[in-house]
Amino acid sequence: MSSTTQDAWNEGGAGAKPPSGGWSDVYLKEDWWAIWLGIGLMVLAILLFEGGASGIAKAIAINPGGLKWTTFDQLGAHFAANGNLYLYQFLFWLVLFGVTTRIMGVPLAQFIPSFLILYVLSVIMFAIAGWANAAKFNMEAPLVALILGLVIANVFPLPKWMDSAFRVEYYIKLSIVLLGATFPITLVLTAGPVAIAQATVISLITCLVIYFLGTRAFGLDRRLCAVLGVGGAVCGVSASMAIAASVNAKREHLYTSVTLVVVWALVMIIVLPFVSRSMGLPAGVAGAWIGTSEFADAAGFAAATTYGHMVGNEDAAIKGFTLMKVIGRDLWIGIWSIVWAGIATIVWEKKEGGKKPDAREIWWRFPKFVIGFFVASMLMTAFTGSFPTAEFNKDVRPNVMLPLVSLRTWGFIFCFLSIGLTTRFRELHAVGWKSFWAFTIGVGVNVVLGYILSVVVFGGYWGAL
Amino acid sequence: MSYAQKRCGACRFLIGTPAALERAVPGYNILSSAYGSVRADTGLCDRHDRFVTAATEACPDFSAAAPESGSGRG
Repeated sequence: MSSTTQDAWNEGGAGAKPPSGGWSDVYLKEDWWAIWLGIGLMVLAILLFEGGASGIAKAIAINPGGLKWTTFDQLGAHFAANGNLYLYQFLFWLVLFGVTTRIMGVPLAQFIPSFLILYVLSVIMFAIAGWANAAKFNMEAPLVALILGLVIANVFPLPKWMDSAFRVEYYIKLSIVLLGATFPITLVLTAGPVAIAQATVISLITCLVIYFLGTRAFGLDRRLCAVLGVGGAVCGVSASMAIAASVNAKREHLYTSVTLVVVWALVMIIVLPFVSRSMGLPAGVAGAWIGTSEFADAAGFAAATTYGHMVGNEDAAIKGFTLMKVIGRDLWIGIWSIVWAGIATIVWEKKEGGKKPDAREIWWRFPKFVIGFFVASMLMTAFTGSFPTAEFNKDVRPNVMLPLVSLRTWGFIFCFLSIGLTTRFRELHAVGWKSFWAFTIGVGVNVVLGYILSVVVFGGYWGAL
Repeated sequence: MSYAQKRCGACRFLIGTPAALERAVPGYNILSSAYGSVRADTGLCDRHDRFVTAATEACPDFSAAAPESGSGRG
């Protein structure tokens, strides 16, 4: 392809349409569906509460995680007594996810059998988590779900079409919106600036370390280094894909990012909670550290939830992680997209590709589900603000908040299982040593700098969550 | 054919639907998703092996997709 002609063609794109389906995004992108479902479930819980029918919400949100059973008879009795509720719940989730993914283009004939398996495995995960001795053996639900999923996906040849229901990102986005319903907006407003400041430091330094190490020390292709740099600094493969378009990266570049992000994310899901426990970190501090170290939201929530279970303070660990990762780092995607598009076009040789930077990218590539998190937080804060504390604790918490927390936990378990079930190591691309070290050193910087910022610089702040 | 009609989004070489993209890059859906907002309309040009922003980029090797195939190849 002639580079001059390519540039001329691209420069003719002034006034081009937005790189999306415009309004159709609201029913074709899972971010928007996560918002509709999350806010819809929240409003439904409130309406049922106001109508004196909270029993419906509690029934739909049933799970065996809080049983603390010690014998199989107890577990069997729970399922015998509530079998019909689990059937209704399965149908409830199946309709919500089946219809919405169908609208997005996923065939129902593939989704239904796959989701049935995912649901059954999730019930088993909850049952394990509800065992009275689970914590003694470090059988935290996220870790068990991840490991079980990995074993199944890599021992049994699951057909690829089953991925139709193993939608890691969709489940985690819905869970994050539901998380907003239990997240006071005052905390978002007071903690947000610190999270954004910390995320800015991490995002800049990690991205630049990977990029300059890759290009200067290892002589790697600069498009590959941009893709790896943002993948390590912001939000893993999603960020890499956004930057791949900005710099016109090759398929191999994204493939390399997928392999490195997945491998290191899995390692950190398992390692970070145990290291945090050995250091005796408060839950909020560990959550923030995980939020600065992990790449993908789903992997980070698995690690933060695991640590929260370990120390008996899941709430603080999830709050620290959410503030740091979802509110802090994820917002950098659109900014990096236009920065790299600008670098590719203005600084690099034009013949290497690249397109003109466009400030609208910040909105086009904005992770929209974050809006749902904020809206849910504001609406629920407004609703609960009218109740005296005693009434809130007696009526609102058990009838509105706890069902939403349970639904969120279902979303988490679907997500954690799906991570394992979609990770087929044989499918991952072989990665060169230079790429491996450039990214791995960046991971090291991320972890060390994240520790310094989360524990030393802002430790008192995160510890108070 | 106008410039707008020759953008990558209408080219037969574009792998542009979410399902096709996830097939084209195995492992992409483990910790990410082609159905998410962050991807916007990023697609993979199978002619030049380059990721492109389908609605705003174009090249001289454009070849119109079949009308029924929508935005590039699925």
